[in-house]
Amino acid sequence: MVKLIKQAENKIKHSSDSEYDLVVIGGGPGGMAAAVKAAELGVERVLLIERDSFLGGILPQCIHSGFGIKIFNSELTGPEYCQLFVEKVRNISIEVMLDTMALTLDLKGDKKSIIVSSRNFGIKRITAKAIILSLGCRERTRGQILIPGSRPAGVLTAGLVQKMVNIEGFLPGKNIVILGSGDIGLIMARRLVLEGCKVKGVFELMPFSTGLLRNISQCLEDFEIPLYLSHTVTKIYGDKRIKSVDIAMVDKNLNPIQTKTKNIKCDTLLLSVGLIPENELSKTAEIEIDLKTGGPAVDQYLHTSRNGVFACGNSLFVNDLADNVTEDGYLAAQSAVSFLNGRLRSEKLIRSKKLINIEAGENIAYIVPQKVSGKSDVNFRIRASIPLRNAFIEFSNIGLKKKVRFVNPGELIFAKITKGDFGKFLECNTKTASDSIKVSIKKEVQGQ
Amino acid sequence: MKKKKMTCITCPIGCLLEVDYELTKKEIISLKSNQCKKGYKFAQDELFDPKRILTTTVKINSRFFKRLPVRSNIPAPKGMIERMVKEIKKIQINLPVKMGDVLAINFMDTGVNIISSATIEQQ
Repeated sequence: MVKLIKQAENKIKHSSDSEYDLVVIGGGPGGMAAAVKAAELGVERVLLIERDSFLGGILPQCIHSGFGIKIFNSELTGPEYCQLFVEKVRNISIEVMLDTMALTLDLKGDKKSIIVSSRNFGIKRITAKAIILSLGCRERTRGQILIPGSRPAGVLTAGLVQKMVNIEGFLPGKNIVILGSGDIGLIMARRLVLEGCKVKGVFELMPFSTGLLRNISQCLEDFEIPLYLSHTVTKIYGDKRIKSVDIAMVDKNLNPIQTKTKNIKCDTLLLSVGLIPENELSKTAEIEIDLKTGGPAVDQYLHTSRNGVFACGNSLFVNDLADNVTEDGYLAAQSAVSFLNGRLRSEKLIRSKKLINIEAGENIAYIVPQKVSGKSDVNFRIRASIPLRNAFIEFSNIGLKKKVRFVNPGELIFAKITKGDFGKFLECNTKTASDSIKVSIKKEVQGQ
Repeated sequence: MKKKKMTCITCPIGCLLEVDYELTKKEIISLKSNQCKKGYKFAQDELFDPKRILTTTVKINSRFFKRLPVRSNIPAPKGMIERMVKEIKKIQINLPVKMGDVLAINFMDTGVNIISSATIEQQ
């Protein structure tokens, strides 16, 4: 892998000319897909910036299988999926800058520029005609969920433990309690059992798991690891090292029932309590952020509020599958190419009042894109906030209902709305009418 | 006839299958709630010969990397997975190694090969 990296690095021209047609920031599955697709579509000077020493983002540490079912039509592991894309990056004319952190986006002048800090080049200004942000996400920590108690060693986020075990090759402890049933937590439960740890249980605050059903089955049930729904950790004990945790059931309002706590001995507490899109860089350019997704608000071309800046991957919204991230990377690249060719002008600028706002209604945590022109088909990505059976997705103002047999917060819902459907909305809503479409998930009422 | 509910793990949709089956004849009598044909294949395997893709890591001597991710080329017998993961640790890796390189053939007589998941070229 290292040799690959070195070769990729050698491609970088050490010239003073640092003007590019397209700069992709972030070398994970989204960024690699975007850079490769843009180069395939004929963009001449593409630069891919990655802060780590290797491409792939989270993929190399995700050694489990389940990747590539959509993109490669076979079940691959994370490192394999990574390798296939690293080879694509290598075989096409993309310049790669590793060990390089993008610090600031400067979109004020005529040219878009990015200030980067790099091990090899120092601080440098790079200019681009278009930019794709694929910045990834980071894990929520203990600080964000406010678990009371002492502050010993051994309270770790699940993804960090994944890196320790799978990349660095050591175990964080032997007796593990996992809080949160997100996919990384479930996958690490199985991984740690296979490495000889005792996983005492996975505790989930909500009355349902936020992970994929297949992961509950193959990671927990296969190994007889108990899953406790509506439970949380209420206190952490330990001086230098964590010794035990208090576990309590929670009531309907998610408040712990303090009278019924149970103490569980452990030497490690794994937190798998959600991911946050990283958008510090986006904020330096005052890109409009949707508070629901935590990522930039985009139109159907993944165009952000700043002209010529596109977003994809987990910095746009947190995905559950790398394949979906790759597809968004492709879409961002296609849009960037249209922009570079001057074909995206008519529908530019998300702030334009001509766009239809998409609002997340009942039972929806978030919906992407947040704004659409209504002049082309749109494939909406919807995150349900609760699991529901026999439900339908309702698009207000266009009178459209789509049946869904089962929705689950762990699985992204795709809903395609055609240009024709928007046409009805655009016709019947004249200047006075509301300019938004509210999307909700509702339960099918029996007998209707 | 026996009844069983199981989550299909073939793809991320995770259909909750409802199966009626005859264990002695190794036969599925009826299958409900699958969204595609793969559900039938999964139920058949899961009831009579459950298998999983095995993934783990092996120690390597490289200046840059400490572990090599490895996998079974095809799904391995589920009951053997834990023992196999322990045995795989003993495999010696000679660098460089390429993705897909076979590290062990017919591992523990399971009919499964252990292959490398990544390419590591440097010592």
